[in-house]
This record gives sequence, C-alpha cells and structure tokens, in this order.
Amino acid sequence: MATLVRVLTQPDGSLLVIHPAMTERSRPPGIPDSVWALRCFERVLAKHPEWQGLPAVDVQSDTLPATRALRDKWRLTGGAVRADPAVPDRPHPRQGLLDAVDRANTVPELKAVLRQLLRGA
Amino acid sequence: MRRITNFLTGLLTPTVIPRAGIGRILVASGLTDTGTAITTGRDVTITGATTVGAVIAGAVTATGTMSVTGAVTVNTGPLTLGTGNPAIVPAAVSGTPAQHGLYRENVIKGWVKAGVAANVIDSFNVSGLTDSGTGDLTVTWDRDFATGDYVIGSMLQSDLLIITTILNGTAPSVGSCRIRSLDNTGTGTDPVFYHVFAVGDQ
Repeated sequence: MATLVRVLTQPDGSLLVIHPAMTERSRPPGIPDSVWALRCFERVLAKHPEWQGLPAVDVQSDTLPATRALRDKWRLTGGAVRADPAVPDRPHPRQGLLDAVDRANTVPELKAVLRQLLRGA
Repeated sequence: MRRITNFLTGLLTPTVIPRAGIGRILVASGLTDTGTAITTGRDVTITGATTVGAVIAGAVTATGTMSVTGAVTVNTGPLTLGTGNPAIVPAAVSGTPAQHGLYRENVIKGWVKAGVAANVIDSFNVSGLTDSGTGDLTVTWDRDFATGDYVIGSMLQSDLLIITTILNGTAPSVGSCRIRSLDNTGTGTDPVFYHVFAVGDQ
C-alpha cells in the first residue's frame, strides 16, 4: 500500500526518503493516514537537526523508482524522484587497491597489492 | 474467620470486610458485590495481603488505582489489561535480578522490521525510517532513550552474505540510530529486510 513519504534533498543532491510508521500500534485510533504521516515527519525531523531546513517534498511511495539498482543516483527532478544515470558512481571503499592494481606493471608490484589485500588494507 | 482489610482512598479509617466464602465478599460501601466479581470505580488499596490473606475467586475490576502491598498470585485465567493503552511499568533492578523477573531494564524498548526501501513492515516505538541510500537505514525512536548508551540489535534478512553495522560516525543518539548493510568489500548493499531492536534506560 502506498504511503506518503518525505523526500529531502541534501546539499550534494542526494536524497533522503523518510517513511512514516503507519502501523496501527504506532498511533491513536481515528487519525487519518495523511495526518499521521505528517506528524511522523515532524517527529523524525525534530530529532535530526542536520536535516532541518533541507528542501523537502512529500510524494506517494509508489511514485518512487520501482528499482533500487540506482538508488544512490536518485535525484529530484520536476518534483518527482528519478534515477539519473549521469550521476557519477560513489567511490568504491577499496578504490585505493583498485588503483594500485591498475598501476602495477610487474609481478612484485602485484604481489605488493596482494599483500595489502590479505592484510585487510 | 479470615478478614480482608480494604482501605478505600478518601476514608480515614479502613473498611473491614468480613469474608463470607470463596468467590463471595460482602462489602459495606465503595465496592459492589456481584457474587463472583468485585467492581469499583474508586481506588482500592489492599495492605498486608500476605498476612491477612486475600483470596478472590471471581474477577476484580478497578477503574481507579489498585495498590497491593503484599504478593499477588493469579492461579487461573490471564491477567488482562483493558483498553485505554494501560501499561505494566516494572521496577528498576537493584543488584542481582530475580530469576525470571521482569524489570524495566529487560524490556525491549523499540523494534522494527523494515523493507528494502526503509518502509515500515511492523514496529514498536518508532516514528519513522529514513532511507539515506543503498544499505543505509536510520531508525528514529518515538520515545527517546535516557542516554545514547543503549544496546541495539540488528540483523539483515537476505540470501546474500552481507554484514550489518551500527554506524559509529553517526553514533546512536537518544532518539535515533543508523544501520548499514554492507558486502564484504564495505560497499552498501540492500538486504531484503532489516530487523532492529533496542534495550536500555528511557
């Protein structure tokens, strides 16, 4: 079931998506979904001052991209969340090792990279 | 004849209730004897239950406060709390906890099962979940913890070999914690579900 979610745009353009806790045990009876969702957003933001003031838009969850394959490339475009393939990939956590492999031209250089890898660098 | 001493709030002297048999208590005022049940809209205080011996075979319904200084034993039937969001608030532990004891320290204070998109499948004491990217989930608690030194349990549901960490860079605060799901290279990876719970002082 689709619910209202709040999308915040961070300074680097990446998106935070806040999902409210809509379960029956989370809220008093008789409060409409839309009202409760807004209260949840307020409660979440009250505890995250670093998110306060970020540009925000509320959308239905079923309008988010169907696949998360490009989640880190989601951007807000025309009020809708879309994956932007032009966004560069996030650096790999072991990018240094990958670069070292690319730079290696000899067996000793490759062995040095392998030692680093085995030591958990 | 055994006696049950019943102190009703607001009375200067205790009301002494002669006991007429199992399941039947004759009362003077403040209580309504229905033969098998005691119903009162006033506060009820029973003191010295362990020495006087209060045995009630029927049901007891107290709309007000019911305070018992002695032990309470329910032999049959569930101990049921009514509607109106009542809670059992256990005492804080002091020293070695009693065996099988319920204390405020060993109550789970919050839990959530979240889908891959940080959508809430089910939860308790959670205001919302924030999807910050692939394998990156922030749980915001509804009722805060007393300090950031509470304990978080996190597990991922997946067919892949992935690990979960509680992000240290954004240390858990009294009101939230951040969970990461990573593959063996440290790259963020979405699980199928997140499972998170927390215990600690509130």
